[in-house]
Amino acid sequence: MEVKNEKIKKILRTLSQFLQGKEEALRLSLITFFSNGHLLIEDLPGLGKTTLAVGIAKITGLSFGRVQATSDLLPTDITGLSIYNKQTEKFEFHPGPIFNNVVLVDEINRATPKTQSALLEAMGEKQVTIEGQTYKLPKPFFVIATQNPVEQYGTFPLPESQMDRFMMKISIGYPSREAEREILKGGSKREQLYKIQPIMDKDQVIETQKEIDQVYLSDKIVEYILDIAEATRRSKYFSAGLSIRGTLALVKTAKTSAYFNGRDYVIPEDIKSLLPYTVVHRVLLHEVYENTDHREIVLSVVENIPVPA
Amino acid sequence: MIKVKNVVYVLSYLIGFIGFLAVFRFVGGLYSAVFLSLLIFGIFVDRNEREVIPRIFLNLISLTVVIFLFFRVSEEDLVVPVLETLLLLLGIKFVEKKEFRDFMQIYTISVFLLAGSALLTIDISFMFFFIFLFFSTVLAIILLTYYSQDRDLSFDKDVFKKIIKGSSAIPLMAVPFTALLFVVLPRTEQPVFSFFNLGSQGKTGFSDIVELGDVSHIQEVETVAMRIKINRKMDINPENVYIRGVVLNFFDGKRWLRKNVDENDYVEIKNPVLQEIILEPTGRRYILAFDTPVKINLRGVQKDGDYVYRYRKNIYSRIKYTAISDIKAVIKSDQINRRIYTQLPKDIHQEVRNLAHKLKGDNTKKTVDNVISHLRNSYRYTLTNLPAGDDPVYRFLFVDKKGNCEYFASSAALLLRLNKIPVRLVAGYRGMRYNEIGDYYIVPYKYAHTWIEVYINGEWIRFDPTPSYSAYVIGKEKGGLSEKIRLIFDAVEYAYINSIINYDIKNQLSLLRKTEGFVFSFGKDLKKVKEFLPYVLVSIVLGMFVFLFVKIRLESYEERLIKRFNKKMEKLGYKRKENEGLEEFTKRIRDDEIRKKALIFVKEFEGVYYTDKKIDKNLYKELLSHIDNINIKG
Repeated sequence: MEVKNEKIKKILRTLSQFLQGKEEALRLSLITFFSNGHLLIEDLPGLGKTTLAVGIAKITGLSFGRVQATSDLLPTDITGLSIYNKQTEKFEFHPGPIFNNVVLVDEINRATPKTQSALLEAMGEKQVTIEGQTYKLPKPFFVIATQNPVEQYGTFPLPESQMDRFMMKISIGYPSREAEREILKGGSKREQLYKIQPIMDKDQVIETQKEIDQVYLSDKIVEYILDIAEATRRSKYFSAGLSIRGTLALVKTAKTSAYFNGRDYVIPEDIKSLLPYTVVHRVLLHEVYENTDHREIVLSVVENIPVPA
Repeated sequence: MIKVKNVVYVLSYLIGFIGFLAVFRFVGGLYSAVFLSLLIFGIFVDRNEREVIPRIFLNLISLTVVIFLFFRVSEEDLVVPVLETLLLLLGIKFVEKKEFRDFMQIYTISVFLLAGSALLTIDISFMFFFIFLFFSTVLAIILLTYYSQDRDLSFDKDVFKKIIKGSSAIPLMAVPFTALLFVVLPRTEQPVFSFFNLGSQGKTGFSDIVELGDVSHIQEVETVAMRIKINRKMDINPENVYIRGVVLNFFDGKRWLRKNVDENDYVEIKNPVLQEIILEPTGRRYILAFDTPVKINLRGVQKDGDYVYRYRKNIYSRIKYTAISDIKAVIKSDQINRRIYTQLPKDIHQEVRNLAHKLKGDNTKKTVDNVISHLRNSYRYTLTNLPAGDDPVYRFLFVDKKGNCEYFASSAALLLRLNKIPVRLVAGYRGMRYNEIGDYYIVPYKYAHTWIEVYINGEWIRFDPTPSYSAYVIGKEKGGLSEKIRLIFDAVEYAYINSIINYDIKNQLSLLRKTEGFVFSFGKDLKKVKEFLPYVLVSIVLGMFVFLFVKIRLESYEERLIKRFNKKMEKLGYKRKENEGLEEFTKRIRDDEIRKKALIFVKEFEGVYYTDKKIDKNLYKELLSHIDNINIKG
């Protein structure tokens, strides 16, 4: 198989102009996007989450929707609802913001559990059921949810079981001094962002996703993934290890990473380099170790597993 | 296109089946049936490609079978239960879903079965099984390595032929080693085919039928008939030892046969001699020992009234036993059946009758002396141009006037019987040769001998009418270099037989118990161990050699390349951690030159390794050259 990832490289190059110093976050987001997964960004406000989401939507020519989560947000505010039309004497369905290809759910932990679960269910099933009627969500479908790490009153932290539904959890972080200097000098580029020409269209995105699925996964790599899963499941530090959805996510993201790197086969580095984003949020620490650094302890377990070669 | 998988499976079935055939004759019918059904079931399972019975369950059964073995095995019956157990384990292996190691286990068990069968008997079939197993196992292992790399690998017919050719070269290369092993391998003294024509051997050797005029020419056979170990302190002249085999009492003019006699001979034991005897297969039932044997320590031996010992079955494999004899003792009998011992053939030539009458003395003893001295003085010993025809005794006495011991003994017996003196013929061996190297005696086939026993005053007294026998047969021994070499080889073989073949624990134990402080001192035992030690060492070294060879061969190209790369990088000061991917590792190399070159190898290797492509020899060499290239700096 020939890897045709020039367009992806071009996307990365183009969007980097708008996201100085956040190239890694951009790459991870795109990996999630092409792996058919959803992204959770845990970060402080004002660090470019919206730019990221809009950028991905624009450059792939996809529709963009945004949900600002608040404690009074209702499930129907996301999914949409049926309203009675007097003229036709029928209920008409008004789709919510979720009926977009790229959906940004800002501060998801502010929404009530009821709303959260409605959203997460839509993410998992890629369809919405309202009043007995099932509506398919558009393809591709990509949710970027953000969450504020600082503990605040009036938030509902995502239940750990739901975290599993996000393929990756990343944080953008502060840009470097130089990058921020460039941002300050250049001013906001939001206007330009909305004007960029798409490099791919919807069909090409789906095509690429299919191609990525064809990336070869050796039994050796499968064993490596199983080793990782087993390590998390057996470790004394964790009360819950990697789920099957988790191992599947490892496979998918690894394939995409390989594709991004111009390979039609997966190497252990594809998996290993993504471990901090794919595994950490899926593993639950044992109560005893709750005060330790979650990320460090998980990585110390999974990153020390011998590679196949 | 031929699928490697199919070939590997079929070969494995065949190898297992050959292993079964090798032991089929010895194991119980139930075991054979169970094995066969397991094999067939296994084939069925493989065809459906699913695990019908969980491995853990099969492992438990295997364990039970092995534990069961410990209850069944006894010191006198060691080999057969082990073979039966191995057979069951092999059957169970076939039912399992087969991985690489399962195939290897199947091959190993099959070879064990064949090796085990060799402990029971070696005949021509062993050779066929051995050759087949040798070639097919080598081929199977080679194909197996392919198969384990790629389960769906297929070969062209030509490629396949090439592989077969190449793999048959391996056993051929092993031939020099085999020649070496030949010294240590168990083998019978007799040519493999000899049992098919036991009836009329034109060779010297012990037989339970003495037939005159059957062959005109007798070959002298150097081959060893038996090996005897006795206490050296015993005052025995090895040339004058008579080894009693069978007593013959019925003569039909041409042949001497054995008829059952109801008789109760007895012996007063004065000087018991204990012998440890290894008897080569005779195809007959008679057990031999120094004349007169009073006790044979061997299960299944029956003693007849005239001191003839019969084994429960014909002896087709080497056996080992101990016997107690009294060389100087005389067999006594209070009552004998005179009619049997003076039986005469029909149509005796008048001249023979006349001769018998002429030789009659005043009493029995005198008559015997006359007959013996007449035969000894007037006739010549020979093995060629033997008298033949319908009346061989007449021809011997009056026409040819030469013959071998059978003619002398037969004539003496006939002449005495014509004088109404009870006589019987004894067949066995006379004389033995001492092997200094191994401290034991050899009795070759050519020492086979026939003599008579005459009943005088309630005693059976041995007379040997054959003239200058010892001068003719025993004295002829050459003392040359070839003889010495033969003795050395025989000593090696003796040590081997003693330790391995017919290793009948019960016999050994009883021997130890009975002879403690009598024949075997502790020192001798130690000596025995010392004799055996070199072989143990040699086989350990050989075993290690084979193990290393197999290990190197089984280590795939991939493993070898990775090892080589890691070693090379370590030499250059970059140690790769085991959790470090190749690229990840290479990227942290600071030296640009080394990193670049390492990356060339890593990229190419990854492209093969992680796409599960088969590395062939050329690619292996290419990748190897990339590794070797990393060395060059600047």
